[in-house]
Amino acid sequence: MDDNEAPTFEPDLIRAIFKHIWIKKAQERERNGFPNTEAGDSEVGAGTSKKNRPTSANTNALKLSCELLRIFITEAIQRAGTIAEAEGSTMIEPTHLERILPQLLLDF
Amino acid sequence: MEVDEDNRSDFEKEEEEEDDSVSDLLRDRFRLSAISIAESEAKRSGMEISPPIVACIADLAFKYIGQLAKDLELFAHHAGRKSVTMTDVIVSAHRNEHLAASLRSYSDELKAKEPQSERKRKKVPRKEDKGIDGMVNIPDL
Repeated sequence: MDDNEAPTFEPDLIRAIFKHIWIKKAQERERNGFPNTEAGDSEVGAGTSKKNRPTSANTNALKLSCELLRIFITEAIQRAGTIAEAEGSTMIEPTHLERILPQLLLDF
Repeated sequence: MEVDEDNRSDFEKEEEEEDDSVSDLLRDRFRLSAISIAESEAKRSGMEISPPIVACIADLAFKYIGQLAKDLELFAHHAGRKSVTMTDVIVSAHRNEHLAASLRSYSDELKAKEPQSERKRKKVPRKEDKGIDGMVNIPDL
């Protein structure tokens, strides 16, 4: 399923995206759950109290997430390609993607 | 929508957060990577793919990573951790046995590559594990 020279995601990029989302959520938690601590002091995520510190991810977890996302994309292409082939075409068209999309989203 | 590899090579780490422009930048980088993965996969299987489809798949993947981030955080917190580990990623794929099995064997590979794992060695790497015992075993922390 994986050959080594195939492109994949950069773990650093995935880390940055995760961090971005988690910091947003941590700030939301801080605003909602702890109204007395919202002194506007921690806008850059390094939450002051331990409780509100944003989640982090370890290196292997990031690599595994990269792999999961890569599989998601390759599955989309493979499945759409199978439908296209069944119709005797080598061009993946929007209708092919539409056909595979429901099951793809259920599978991930 | 032609994408070349060198868009990704000048990737420099950004540590500043919380800007819509930063989030746009991250999204665009993610999309570029996704597009190059999709195009190389299409080429590998000898298919042609129209650019709007590639863009659409990249968008799907971006939505998926948003959902994934929330899931992973939830799982880690549920386990009483502040940091996401590989088990969280595997649990996030638990609905799909084959996907979970594939991720598990990949995680075993990663673990084998860096043998700095200290206490979660109780599971011997089983490459052909088909995940019938669907539960991911979560080490007691």
